[in-house]
Amino acid sequence: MSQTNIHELIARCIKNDEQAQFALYNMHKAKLKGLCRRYARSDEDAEDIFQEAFVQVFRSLPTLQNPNTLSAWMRQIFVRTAINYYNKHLKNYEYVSEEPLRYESNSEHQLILSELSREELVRVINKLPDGYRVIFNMYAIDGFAHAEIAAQLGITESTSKSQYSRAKEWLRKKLVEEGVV
Amino acid sequence: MEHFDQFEDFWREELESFESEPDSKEWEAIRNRLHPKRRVIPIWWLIPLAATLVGVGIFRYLPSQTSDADNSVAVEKKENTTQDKNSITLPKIDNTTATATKPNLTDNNFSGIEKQTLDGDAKRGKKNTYKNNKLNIGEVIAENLPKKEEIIKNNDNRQPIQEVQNQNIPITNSQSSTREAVATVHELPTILPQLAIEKEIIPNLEKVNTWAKITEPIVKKESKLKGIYVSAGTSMNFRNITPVKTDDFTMTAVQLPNTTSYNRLGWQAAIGYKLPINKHLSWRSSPQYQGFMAKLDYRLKLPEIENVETSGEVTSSGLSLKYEKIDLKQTDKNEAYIYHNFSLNNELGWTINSKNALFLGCAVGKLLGDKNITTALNSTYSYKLRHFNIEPYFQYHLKYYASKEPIYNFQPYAFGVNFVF
Repeated sequence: MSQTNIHELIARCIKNDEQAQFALYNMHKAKLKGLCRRYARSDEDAEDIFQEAFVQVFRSLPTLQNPNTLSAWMRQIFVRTAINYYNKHLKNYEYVSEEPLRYESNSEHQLILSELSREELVRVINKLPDGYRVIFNMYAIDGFAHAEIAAQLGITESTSKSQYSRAKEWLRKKLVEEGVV
Repeated sequence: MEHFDQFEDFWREELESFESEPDSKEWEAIRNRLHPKRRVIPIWWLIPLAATLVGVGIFRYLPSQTSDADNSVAVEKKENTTQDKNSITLPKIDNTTATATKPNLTDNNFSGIEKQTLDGDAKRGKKNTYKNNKLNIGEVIAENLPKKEEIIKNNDNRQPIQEVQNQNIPITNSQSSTREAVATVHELPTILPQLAIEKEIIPNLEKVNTWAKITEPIVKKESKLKGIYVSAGTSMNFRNITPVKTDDFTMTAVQLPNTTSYNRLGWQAAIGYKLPINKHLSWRSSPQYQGFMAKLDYRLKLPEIENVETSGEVTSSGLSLKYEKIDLKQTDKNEAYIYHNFSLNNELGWTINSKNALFLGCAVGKLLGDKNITTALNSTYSYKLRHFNIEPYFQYHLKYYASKEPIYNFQPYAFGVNFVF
């Protein structure tokens, strides 16, 4: 879709044009639903986050300053919605101990994970505790820096780093428990 | 992105572009939130409402017109009867008459007048209304008595008619004012000149009829639909629907997060049969349609106790089969529910009421198969009109009727109005 058409589509969405909203929804629904599946604990939670976030997108469209960054802007809203969804649980992980963690060999993990399909990988992530899962998604997959994560979650940068390390350790143990390794 | 190592690269490569196709219902839910539908009251709800209002109008105004006609006839007949059948000859007011012919009014004759008049009215079923009219007519004539005396004074060669009456009609103290009023009515056409009647009495009689028309609706009368119980009305229910998300859910009447509430305007209609069992008990049974609920209802009613003006009423829906369907298109969580419930319901209630006053009562209900017992407080005002009772009601559940799966469903309160014919 050309830039002009995107602008027109956004303008119509702002006017609450149902057809335009449906078109925008169809353009981004699959990727954004995938994002929700990664951040959510269950499919039901993913549906809730997906619907809530899309409503927020349509309601916040008038605040979009640069239509060319629409995709990134929507992803930000979806991540923020997912964070808010589990915000209560995330707070519980704020005061974890800062004891050093034992790092496993990355090559060992990669060897195991390469045998799994994408769906199976998402299922493994879904099993992470809420705090670990959000930080793991933000850092490892969506490319946020620990400083950004800390700012978004309201935690310190060192906490973000330790949480991420624990998430990786948790994943390793889980894979062993389930016999994947 | 130099902070990424092989592990992170792998995850990012695999899942950054991970896609999942959402279900079509998810767009429906989003669309419904973006474009909430206006609630359209189906026209079939308006039909019974309109029919009820029309019915109320007919019952309210038609009898009043009939009543006026009956009253007029009653007064007219009363005068004719007293003249014709008792052969009362009163003196003509005539300047040329030398002596007055004293009417031979005995107590027996007078009793006959009264008896016949009352019997006739009783047959027409207008006893109360007529009694009011008689008394008022008496008052009207009392107001006009000075004119009568003036007229008599001008007829100097005749005995004053009041004197004649005192001599020949021994009216004891035990005789009612009603009798006096009848006696006065009897004399009226012959004592007063026609002109005085037309100009003075008739306007006052019209006032009497108007007052009777105003007071008539509050006079309790037997329903013409004897044996038939008909109820129609509107009702409004408040419901709080809560999707079950956690086990440690606490119910409360206040709307909870992630719930939706709705007020539902419905209507109810019932037709059944009032079966008198004996002097003290009657049975009322009717299938009832109440918006989306159908149930069989019956009640035993004690008659009103004379003088005390209170009555007790036991109501029970017994072991009635109740079917309830809740069809919610959307909640705040965008979940659609269609909830069917068949239940055997047993509710017992007791109300104490007084005439044209507030009912206060309580009810205890039990759904078979459900461990909860419903308790509720009722308050109803029953206003007795001429042909039906109008009963606004309010019910507050102390412990809500609730069903945990698949949703919480309870009615903290319900209110509405019934028209019981």
